[in-house]
Amino acid sequence: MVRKPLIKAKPRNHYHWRNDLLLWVLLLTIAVLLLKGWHDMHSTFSTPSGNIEVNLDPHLLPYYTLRTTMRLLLGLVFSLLFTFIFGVLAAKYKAAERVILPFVNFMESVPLVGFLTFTTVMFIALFPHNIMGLECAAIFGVFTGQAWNMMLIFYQTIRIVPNELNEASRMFHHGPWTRFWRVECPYSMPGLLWNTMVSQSAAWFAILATEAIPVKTNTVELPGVGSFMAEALTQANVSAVVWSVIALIANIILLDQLMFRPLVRWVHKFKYEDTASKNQNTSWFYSLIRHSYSSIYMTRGLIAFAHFWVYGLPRLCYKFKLNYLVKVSPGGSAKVAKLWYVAIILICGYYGVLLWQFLPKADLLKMPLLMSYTAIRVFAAMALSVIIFVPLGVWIGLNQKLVKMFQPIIQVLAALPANLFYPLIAIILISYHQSLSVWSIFLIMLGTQWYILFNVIAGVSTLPHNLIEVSRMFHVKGFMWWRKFMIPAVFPYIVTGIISAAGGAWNAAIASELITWGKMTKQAVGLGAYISDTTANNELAQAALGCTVMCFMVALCIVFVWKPLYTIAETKFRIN
Amino acid sequence: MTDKKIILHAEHVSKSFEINKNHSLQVLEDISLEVYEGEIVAFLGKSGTGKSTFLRILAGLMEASSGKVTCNGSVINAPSRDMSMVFQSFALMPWLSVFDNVAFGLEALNYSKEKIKSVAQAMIDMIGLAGYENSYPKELSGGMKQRVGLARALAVEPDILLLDEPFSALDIYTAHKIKTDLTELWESRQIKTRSMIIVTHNVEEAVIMSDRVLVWDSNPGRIAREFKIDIPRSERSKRSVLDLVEEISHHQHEQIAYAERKRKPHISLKK
Ligand SMILES: Nc1ncnc2c1ncn2[C@@H]1O[C@H](COP(=O)(O)OP(=O)(O)O)[C@@H](O)[C@H]1O
Ligand SMILES: [Mg+2]
Repeated sequence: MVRKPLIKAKPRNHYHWRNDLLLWVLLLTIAVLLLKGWHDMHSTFSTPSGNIEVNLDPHLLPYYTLRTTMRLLLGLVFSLLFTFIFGVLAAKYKAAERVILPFVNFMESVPLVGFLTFTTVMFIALFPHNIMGLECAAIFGVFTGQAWNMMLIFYQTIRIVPNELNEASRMFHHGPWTRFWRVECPYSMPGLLWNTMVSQSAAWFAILATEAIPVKTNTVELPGVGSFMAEALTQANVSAVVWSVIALIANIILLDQLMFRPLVRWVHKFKYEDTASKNQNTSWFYSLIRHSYSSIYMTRGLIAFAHFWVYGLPRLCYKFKLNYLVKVSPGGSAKVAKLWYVAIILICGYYGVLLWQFLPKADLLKMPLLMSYTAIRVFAAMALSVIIFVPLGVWIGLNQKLVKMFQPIIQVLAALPANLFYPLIAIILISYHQSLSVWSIFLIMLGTQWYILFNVIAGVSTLPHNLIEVSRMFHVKGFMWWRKFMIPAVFPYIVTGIISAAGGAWNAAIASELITWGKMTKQAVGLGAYISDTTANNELAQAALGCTVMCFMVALCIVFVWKPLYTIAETKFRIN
Repeated sequence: MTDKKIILHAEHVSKSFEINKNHSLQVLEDISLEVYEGEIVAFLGKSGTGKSTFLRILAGLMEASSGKVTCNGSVINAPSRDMSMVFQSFALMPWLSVFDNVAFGLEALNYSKEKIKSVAQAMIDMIGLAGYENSYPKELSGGMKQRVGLARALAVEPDILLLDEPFSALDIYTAHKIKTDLTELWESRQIKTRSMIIVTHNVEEAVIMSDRVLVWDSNPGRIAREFKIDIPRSERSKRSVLDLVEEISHHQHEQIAYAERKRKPHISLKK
């Protein structure tokens, strides 16, 4: 046996029993809350009072937030499972990659808000007498908000693991299993975590939208912040709207402090960089765990488990000759691959024909106009975000102090889903009689701007310092400075920002074309309003047409706009 | 030397970086330097002695904690038009072609389009980049990249050229070729630039190229010793400079060994 690695000896005085006390109180509270949430998820529809209804009492909000958080966490678990399984499949098997990648790429930018009605109907049908159907629909919403993005980044980082790391691992005779857990997985951790954090706003967006659907269609409601907010909107209750916004922001900050910050701090050690990064991330919760006596034992347990997981498991497999089960010859035989492609094409074709028969052809002519309205709003929002937030990002990024100051604030702001602000804007729009057609551009911007700001700040602060010095040395200023230096330098980052914002932007475009306040509604002409209208009237065929057209539009946009932009950014403007 | 004009003058320059609220790192301590018209000065020293920091202060890219720098009589507190710099990492704009990179500094001078074109083209021809005008930096070898860096710096006709380890990223053969080309241009007065400061840790390079070698010492960084190179340029070769190279190398080894000895008890004390 290999000797277990010793825990790094730290000066004793770093530990304190008070940390243990606080830690255990926190952990137990979290455990109790999660158990309560888990239990209530499984209740049946028929409660003593008849239907489950969302009550607009602010005192109930903490409970509702807990229920929503449960869904968010479960959605995260499923997204991680998906990421690991399909990310590895795509990275290791060419035949799987050819199918998974286009699918996931497409799903990433499809606005799922349009589909939510269908998935909700489907899940309710799966669990007829149980609230689980609605729960599943919400969890699925969270999944679709983040899984694609996470899988893509995981797949990409596995593929770019530096060759010398892989070679080093081979020199130590690591099998594929061990290599994955010792090299590939740790290497991709920072990127995966960062992407998960960035996807949080999409997850929140999806969960708020799914919880609101039953409220709008007058079916049984699911207790949660989203349904609370939707109920407040239909009842035109201002204070309830404000309370729900506050609860949501508090919840986001809490998750950030207790989950993401400590993880970011921990993942820091996996960063494959030669230079120690300048601004060390800090997290009070991480330090609390680190400086408690319990952490010594927890670390020991974790290390023992990790050792078994990484080295013991493959050995067990060999012992029981289980390795033949998992031994799929990489690349597979050509025949199997061909069969696989044919099957995929056949299935797609079959469902395509079914779908075509289901769609109403009468509305088909209306579609191009609706499409262009929605598309124009999306592009206008993108353009405005770029014009406003690129200079802001450059200004912040050039100054390390500002970066340090703004980064945490922007991170929390970016995690706030755009539909959080819809109620507030609905109140303003309806009381001041403004046109939603124009204002929905700003609603879309609420989502896209952060991606652009984030990426530009990141781009500017990683810019080689020498290039900045060159532009100063040669007195390059003003318009020339932007044209010859700064805009080309951040161009790849602007493109990345726009592409990652695309999915959210379509979502927001769809969701923001119809807002409700009490008995009043405001509509803008566009595909989103068409989908919302038809679903509210239960015209499923029309709604399906709307969704199909939307997918078509997004695919066009990927092929003719994002991909070319990305190629230009990669080939001409990448600094390395 | 006294009859020669002083171009660049640094007086009692010190620099310390703030690491955090309570600690600061003193990198340069009380450095004075005069650079005359028509001379090449070499900075020699191991890495971390503060040579790059000092060069940036001279260039006006960084502010000194105390002391002052004057160039042609005016105080430097921002990059001056009389100076230009060449970087170890080339620092070329990847999105600009070779021509646009060379024209980069000229465009900021508000020259007319024709003038920019003729000056940049002349510089490209002189530095040996003809035919590569429309290539992009990532298509070039390291040596070619550094030629672009040189052309860009020389195109604005600075009085004094600062070179921060310009040849360290190149293989010795390429480096040698560029070095001789540059010295030739300077000697034959094909370029307007009359003075240069070159940072290096190659003793032979320092001796062959310069008129004065300033040897740096660390903690905090300062100029420890000056060697005047009296061998006429026409007579300098690997062989003729050998004795001087030996002497300077010996001095450096002693200095480094001394610094190590000084540090040892410091480490063992903490144990
Ligand atoms: N911006 C900075 N902040 C803090 N320390 C710095 C900074 N720039 C340089 N240093 C420190 O100053 C010292 C000298 O660096 P440098 O001038 O690059 O040396 P050289 O060019 O001689 O190798 C080094 O110890 C380096 O770590
Ligand atoms: Mg240096």
